[in-house]
Amino acid sequence: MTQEEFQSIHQKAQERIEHAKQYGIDLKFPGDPWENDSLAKVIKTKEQAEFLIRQLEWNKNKANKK
Amino acid sequence: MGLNVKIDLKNAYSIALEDKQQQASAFDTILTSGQKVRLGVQIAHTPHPLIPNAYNLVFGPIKMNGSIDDKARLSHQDHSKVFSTVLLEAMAYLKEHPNNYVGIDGSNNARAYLYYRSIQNNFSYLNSIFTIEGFNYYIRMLRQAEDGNCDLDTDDIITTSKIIEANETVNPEKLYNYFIFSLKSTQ
Repeated sequence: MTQEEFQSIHQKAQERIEHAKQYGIDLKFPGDPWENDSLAKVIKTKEQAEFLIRQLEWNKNKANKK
Repeated sequence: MGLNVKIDLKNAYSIALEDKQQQASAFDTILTSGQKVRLGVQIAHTPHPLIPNAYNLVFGPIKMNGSIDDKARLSHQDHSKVFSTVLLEAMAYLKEHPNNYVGIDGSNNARAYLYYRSIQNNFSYLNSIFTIEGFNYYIRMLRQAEDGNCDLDTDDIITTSKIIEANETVNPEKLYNYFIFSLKSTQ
């Protein structure tokens, strides 16, 4: 992807943000989508969550260093 | 359907007029039958109960009560544009909330495979914008009875995450159960 295309995609996302803000929406909505979600069903303890959070952060940092 | 999805975030449907009472970002799509259907994309206020920066994304037709039917199976005229619209919404959300994650449930094998193939077929494009991780759930098998059934320890489920890479080989039985997106740093 060229830098120009990358910037234009970010611009498009920024326009979407501004559009939502016109109506007082920060792109989050009411509701409980976790009710039927598998991740909520399998991560049920603090220990499981902490293990997964560490993996997520480690992976994200690794990806951003590339 | 779906396996030839071509993601182009600049080719997305317009989001319908919004107000604060709206429960989702909404857009109209056309089915192969010619019928117009309003779809919703919802990233809720509520994070995962134990993962404070993980937010679930659901999309699908909007039901009469305003909620989203994310189990519906629809044949869109332009699947690429539908998926591009959903991902643009996720990207916009992550630009506004850069420390958060947006998750999508591969709620059954068909959906999980569709999402996985769509990610792989657009890997270079998506990888420029997002870090995409796949989650696998593993459950402990206790012992097998003589009749072939086995007890499962449903209280001991392990979840592992892995960054999805280009052209990786994933056996069907190890297809990711859940996908989570974060925005790559622009610096």
